[in-house]
Amino acid sequence: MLLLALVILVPSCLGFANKFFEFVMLFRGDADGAFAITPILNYLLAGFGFLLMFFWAAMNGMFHDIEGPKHQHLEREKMLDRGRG
Amino acid sequence: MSSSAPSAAIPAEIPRHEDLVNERLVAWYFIASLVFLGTSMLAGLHMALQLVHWNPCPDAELLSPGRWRMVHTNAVAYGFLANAFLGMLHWTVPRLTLRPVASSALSYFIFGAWQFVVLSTAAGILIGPSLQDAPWVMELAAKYNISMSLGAQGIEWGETPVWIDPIAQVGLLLVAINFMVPISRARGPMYVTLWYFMAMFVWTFLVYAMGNFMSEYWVGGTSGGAVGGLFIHDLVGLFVTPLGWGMMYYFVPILLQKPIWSHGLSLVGFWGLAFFYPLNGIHHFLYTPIPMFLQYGAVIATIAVEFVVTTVIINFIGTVWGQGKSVYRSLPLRWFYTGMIFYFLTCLQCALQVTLTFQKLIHFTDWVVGHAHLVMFGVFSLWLFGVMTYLFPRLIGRDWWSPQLCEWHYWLSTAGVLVMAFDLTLAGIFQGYYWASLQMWDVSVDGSMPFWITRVFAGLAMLGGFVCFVWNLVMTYRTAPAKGAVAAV
Repeated sequence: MLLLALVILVPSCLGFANKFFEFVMLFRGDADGAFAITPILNYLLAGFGFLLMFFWAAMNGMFHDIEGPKHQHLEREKMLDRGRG
Repeated sequence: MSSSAPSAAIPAEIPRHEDLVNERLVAWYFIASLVFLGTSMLAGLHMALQLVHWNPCPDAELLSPGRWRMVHTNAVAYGFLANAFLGMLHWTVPRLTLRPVASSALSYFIFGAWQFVVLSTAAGILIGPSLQDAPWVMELAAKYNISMSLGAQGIEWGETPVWIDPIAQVGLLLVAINFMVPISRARGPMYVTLWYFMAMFVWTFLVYAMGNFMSEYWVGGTSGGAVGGLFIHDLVGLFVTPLGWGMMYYFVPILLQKPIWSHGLSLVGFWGLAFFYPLNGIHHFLYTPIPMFLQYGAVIATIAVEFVVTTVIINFIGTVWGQGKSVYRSLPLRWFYTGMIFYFLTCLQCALQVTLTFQKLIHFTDWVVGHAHLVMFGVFSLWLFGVMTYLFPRLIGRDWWSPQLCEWHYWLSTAGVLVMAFDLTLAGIFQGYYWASLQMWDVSVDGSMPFWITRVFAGLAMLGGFVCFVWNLVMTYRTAPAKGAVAAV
C-alpha cells in the first residue's frame, strides 16, 4: 500500500513542483503575473493548512474509533432531551 | 444500530439543555433571518419585474432594480443564510460539545453587530450612490484626503461598502472565537459535524479577507477579478456548504433516531471537500489568460468534488434505507432530503458546466442564474426551512398552528424553485445559441421573454410559500395552545 502510494505521489509531486516552478518564473516580480500566481498560492495555503490539520488529527487519535462519534452523538441527544425541563 | 452503554467520551452527569443553549437567541437569529429573506425575495421579484418591463416604480432612484439586485444577493447570503446558520450553531455546538459558547454576552453583541453589518450594507448599496456626489461628502473627502466610497464595492457578493468590511471581518473572528472555545474543550474523537463547523470558521474568515481586501487594496485589474471569482465560489463551498452538511449530519440522525450509516465515509467527504474545493474557484476563469494547466486542474478538481459529494449522498441514502416512509411523514426530513437531491443535481450540473465545451455555450447566460437559485434556495434554504420547521415548536413550546400551512410552504417552495431552475437553465441554452449564431442582441432578449415571465410566476410561488410559513409562525406564537417541552413535528 505504501509502495503504491509512493509510486503515485512521488511523480505527481515532482510534476506539480516542476509546473509550479514554471509559474514562479512566469511571475518574476511582474505585477500582472500575480494573475497567474494568486489562485495557486491561495490553494496551496489552504491545502497546506488542512494537511497539517489532517496529521494533527491522525496523531491525536481522531481516527482510532472512527464509528464511535456517531453513537455518542445520539446518546448525548437522548440524555439532553431527557433532562430538558 | 446504537450502542447500549454510554460511551467514555460522555460524562455520566451531563449539563442541562437550558444551561447550554440560549433558546431566545436562537429564535432571534431565526426571526432576523426570515426578515432578511422576505426582503431579499421582494428585491428579487422587483428585478424579475424589471426584466419583463413591469417595473412598478421606474422613476424612483432608490428603487432602481440594479441596486435592489445587490440587496437581493447580499440579503440572502449575509442576512438570511448567515443569521439562520448562526442560530443553528447556537443550538448544535453546545449540544454536541456539552459546553456553552465562550460568552453569552459576546453572542448578544455579535447578534447586534451582525444586524448592523447587514443593514449598513443594504443602506450603502441603496443610498451610497446617491450620496456619493453630494457636495458635503466631496468636501469631507477633499478636507481629510480620504476616498469616500460610500456605495457598493465592485465585487460580486462582496458589495459590502469598504467601510463595513473591517467590522464584518472582526465580527467573523469573534464568531470563530465564541464557538471554537467549546469545540476545542470537547473530549474524544469529534463527530463529523464539528469537523465541518471548525473548518468553516477558519475558511470563512480567510475567504472574506481574500475577497474584500485583496482585490480592493493589493491585487488590481484582472488579478483582482481572478480573486473575486475565487471569492464567490469559496463563499458557497467553504462557508455555506460545510455549515449545510454539518447541519445535515447533526439533524438527520436525530430525526431518524438512528446513527449516520458510516461515520468513516462522512470523514472522507469532509477531507475531500477540504483538499479539492479550494482549487475549484479557478473554473470561473476558463478561457482567460491563466495558464491552461491550471484551468484544467480546476476542471478536474470540480469533477473530483462530484465524487466526494456522491460519497455523502450514498451515506445519507444508507442512513434512511429501510425507513423511506419517514421522509414523507416527517416534514423536516422531507425538507432535508429534497434539498439533498437538489444538491446532487447542482453538483452534477457543476461537473458539466465547468468543462470548456459547456462554458462556450452557457457563459454569462441565465443558466448561471438558474444554477445559483438551485444552490442557494433549492439546497441551503430548504435545509434551513427544515431546521426551522423542527426547532420553532421546541423554541416556542407549541405545535405548529397549521400543519397544512407547513405543507403549503414545502410544496410552493419546492415547486417554485424547481420551475425557476429548469426555466432559467433552458433560457441559458437558448441565449447561448442566440449569441453563438451572432444574431442581434435584441433577438436574444426577445427570445428570453417567455422564460423571464415564467420566472416571475415561479418566484411568486416561492414568495407565497414563504408567506405561508411566516403567517403560520405568527399564528403559532399567538394562538396555538401551549404544549410539552419537546415537540414532535
